[in-house]
Amino acid sequence: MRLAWLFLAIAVLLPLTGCDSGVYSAEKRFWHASRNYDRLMQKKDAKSQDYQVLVDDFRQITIRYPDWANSARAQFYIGQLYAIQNNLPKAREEFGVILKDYPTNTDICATALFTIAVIYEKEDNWEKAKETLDKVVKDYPDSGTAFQVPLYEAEHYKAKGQAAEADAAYAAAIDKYKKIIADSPKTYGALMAIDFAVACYADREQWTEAIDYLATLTRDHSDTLVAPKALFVTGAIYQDKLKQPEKALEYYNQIKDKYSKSIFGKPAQQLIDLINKPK
Amino acid sequence: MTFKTLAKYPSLLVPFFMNAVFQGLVLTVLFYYPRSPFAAIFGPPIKAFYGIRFLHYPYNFLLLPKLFYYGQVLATLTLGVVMFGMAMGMVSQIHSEGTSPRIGGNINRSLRRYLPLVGVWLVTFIISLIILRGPAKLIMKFMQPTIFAKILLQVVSYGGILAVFLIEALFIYAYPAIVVERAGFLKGIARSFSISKSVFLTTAILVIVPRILDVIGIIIKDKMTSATNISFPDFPEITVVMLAVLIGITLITDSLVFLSTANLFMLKKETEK
Repeated sequence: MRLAWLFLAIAVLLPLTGCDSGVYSAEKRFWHASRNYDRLMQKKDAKSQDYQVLVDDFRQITIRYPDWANSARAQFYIGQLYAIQNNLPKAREEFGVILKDYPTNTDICATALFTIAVIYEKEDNWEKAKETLDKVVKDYPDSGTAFQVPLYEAEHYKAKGQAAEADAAYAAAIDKYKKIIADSPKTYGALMAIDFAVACYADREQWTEAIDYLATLTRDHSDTLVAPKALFVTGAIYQDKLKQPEKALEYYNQIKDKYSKSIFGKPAQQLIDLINKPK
Repeated sequence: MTFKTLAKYPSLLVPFFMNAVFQGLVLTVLFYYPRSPFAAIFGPPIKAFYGIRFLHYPYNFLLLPKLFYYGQVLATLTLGVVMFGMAMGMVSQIHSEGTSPRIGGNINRSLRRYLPLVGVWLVTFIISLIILRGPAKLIMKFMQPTIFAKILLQVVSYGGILAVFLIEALFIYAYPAIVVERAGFLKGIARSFSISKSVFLTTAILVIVPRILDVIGIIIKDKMTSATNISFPDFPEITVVMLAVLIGITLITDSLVFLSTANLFMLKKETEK
């Protein structure tokens, strides 16, 4: 009987003592807060109190668990919540906290800095936005966000109707992406750069130029993932933009023949099946 | 008769209560597995076998039923069979001496018969596992996913559950035989077969009726936990609640199955004299 009481005592004491280093509680709070954030985004008649409750939830995470790996993400959510409410100075301030408090989390720092630039742009302060974007490239040159900057600048000029600046920016962006691919074709960055380079052509509907460039990539980098990626993107341009599925098939089949074991082998096969599927 | 005995000697429930508390302790430990200090023990194997995401909230609750199943097997292998044996000893004492059963003495009595008891439990467990999983695996391996295959899979799984109950009915008297008659592993099983054969229908009813409650509990738990995202989107902890309820159900069904069959064993033994 004593044994039974001992078991019972341990079973009761264990949950009460709540043996936890904090990480689990942080995960739990973050999961619930993220779910509430998603729910708030769906809500049509959200009030400022609803936003404040959520800001408080995320704030608790950053205060209670400052060293937790995802605390920076919680801080990012806070910034986003202010940005959504159009409280742009406060949003900028909150994104700035990420740079100050989580400097080692470079990916989220780069994203936060980029978002600060976007806020400046929204506030019609392009000069400050440009300065911040340059800082993203300078401080976090290897981040995915930094890759986005040249295209973003070009798109800004295009949206503002500044044709000459836009042309120059697109040309500079394409040169930059081409250089990244040429310098380090075996990296993940090269694959990302292909997407951005093609986006530069796509913004100006320069499909022929895009296809020509992709053809050079396929030829010059046949021993890296750049080649199947270039083939895949070419196929996608033919299929979705130029509405030539037969031509797209040629490129997907090339992947199937030469790069079936690459990460593009399976999606290429799926697209071949889709195109060949009787309508 | 079992209920009458239970009303007169409620201490007969102690072994099953201790078993339930032990299982509760196992569940509590497993509930805390992603947290320190348990994460240091459970973390590496879970990461290796299931993936790192199951060490994080709320994915740990998806793995919890499986871990608890393994925990239950381990708990029954260690303390569980001793408690079953203890209950057998207590029933025998009531029948032979008519006095309130001793707890400590019967634990010792059961502990001394640990190996044959665990052997019987293992044999029953392995046969049940083969019956429940074997045919379903064969169907999935060799048949196309047609409607017929789906129906067959359902039939096989329900038939499997019934077969497992019947297997339990065949082996159930091995526990009292081992503890009360001090039979060895094989002799105990042989004795169980012979008694089961003579009172098979009664035994089957004594086993199947309470075990239906177990099955209902498992079905409800599976439904509740697999549909967590729909029914309880903000409360993944429902899995723990359901597993705790299952422990409670097992406490009831185990007591009914083991005590009623032990009573029948003792009556049979008395009529044999």
